[in-house]
Amino acid sequence: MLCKEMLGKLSEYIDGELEAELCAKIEQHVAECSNCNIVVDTLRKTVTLYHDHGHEPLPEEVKQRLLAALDLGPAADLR
Amino acid sequence: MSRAKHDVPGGRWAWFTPQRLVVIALMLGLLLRFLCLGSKSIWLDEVLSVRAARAELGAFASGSVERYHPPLFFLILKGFMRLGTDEALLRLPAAIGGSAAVLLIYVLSRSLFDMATAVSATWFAALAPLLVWYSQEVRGYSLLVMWALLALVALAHLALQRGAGWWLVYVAATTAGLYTHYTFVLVLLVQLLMVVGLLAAGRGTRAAPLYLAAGWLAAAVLYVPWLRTPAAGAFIDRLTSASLYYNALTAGRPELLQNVSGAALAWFLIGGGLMALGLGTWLYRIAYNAALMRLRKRPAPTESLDEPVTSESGDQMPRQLVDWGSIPDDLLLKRELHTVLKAALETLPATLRSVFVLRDIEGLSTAETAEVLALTETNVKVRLHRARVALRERLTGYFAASQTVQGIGGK
Repeated sequence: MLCKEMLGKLSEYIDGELEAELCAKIEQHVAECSNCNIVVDTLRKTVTLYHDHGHEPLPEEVKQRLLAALDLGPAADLR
Repeated sequence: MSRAKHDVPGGRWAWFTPQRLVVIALMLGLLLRFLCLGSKSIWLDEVLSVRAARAELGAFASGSVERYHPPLFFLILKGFMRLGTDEALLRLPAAIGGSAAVLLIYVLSRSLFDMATAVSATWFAALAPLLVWYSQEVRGYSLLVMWALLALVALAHLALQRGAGWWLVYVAATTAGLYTHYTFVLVLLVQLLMVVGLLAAGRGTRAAPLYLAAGWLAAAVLYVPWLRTPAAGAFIDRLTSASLYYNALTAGRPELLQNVSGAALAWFLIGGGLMALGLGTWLYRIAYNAALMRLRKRPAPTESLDEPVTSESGDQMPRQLVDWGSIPDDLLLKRELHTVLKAALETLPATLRSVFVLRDIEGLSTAETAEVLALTETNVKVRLHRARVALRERLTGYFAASQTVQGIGGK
């Protein structure tokens, strides 16, 4: 398997959604190719970092504005 | 030939007595749950469980360990992890909980109904794909089912006057359920339905509602310490904000939004119910639509949607191939990290960012994200992947800043 063949599959690989056969191919390739090993590792870290630390509470002021907006024009249209 | 049939009452199926059928179902249930338990390596959600279980005890209350669940499952997993970290061992709590659930289904249906009902219920539970699936995953869902059933069994025994000692079991199981998953709140409604149903059928003791009320009170008292932690507070806040949009829109009563913290517990109950009914996605959709209406009043942006480098086959090529090394722990704790993550996220085009935020930060499934953003699931997957790849490139600039940055083409 070539580097660029596996790149498009990496997200599904990380999420565990890929069939076993492809997983095995990717794992075999990653074991041999240090660049791809880094890409897989850092892509996984990216997902984990955002999962653990990426959450952004809605700023109070924005929340107020959204609520105000909901109460005014658009709310009627949405119903 | 016809004589043989008459000699054995019931014919050739006579061996399959209800009792034997139950035993076969239980065996089958065990087999499905314990077979090949460790054959697959753990996937992302399971990794998150293991990470959470490795945290210090005190850290759970702060919310820095786990934002979506109360701590009980992770504490149980922590205990098992003292014995090792083999995949099968990590999944053992889930498998045990799932197996116990099958047995409890039998006990529950046997105490409420006749043997035929109990046999079929046990078979359904033993073979149900969803129950089997979550009995083999390092997550707390099968334990949630187990606590729910144990509480119902205890409550049924109380209602049918089989010993007041069951009250302690009932309180323990209900409390454990609340400490395992927030949606256990819905199971309380099921408990109420069961008591009402039994009374309506003229079967339960009149004291059953009293047992129920006293049990709820005891469980609530035991749950208050957790509800007062920052972790639970943050979770309630998230539900509250979603519920606020819902309410402002449907009821047209913005005055309800004035006091968020005071109404937090009530919203927690309603929000939990809505989420469990699949309406959680709908709330995101409403908030998304409202935001869209605002955006449509502005001139359309003219940026390119998919600007990263792509190979001839259409996949994006990574440009940064530097290891991040070990990210220092103290860095993870700094506010700086949050700023970096936020800044990288803001460089993404809105089409990619919306998918990434819903999937990887808010934790929606692919199907839910597709529904909220009115995209196909395939589209969600493609955009999620592009967003992750782009973010990885941006973050590399930060985490590998001190190292030599090299770029190469694909092989």
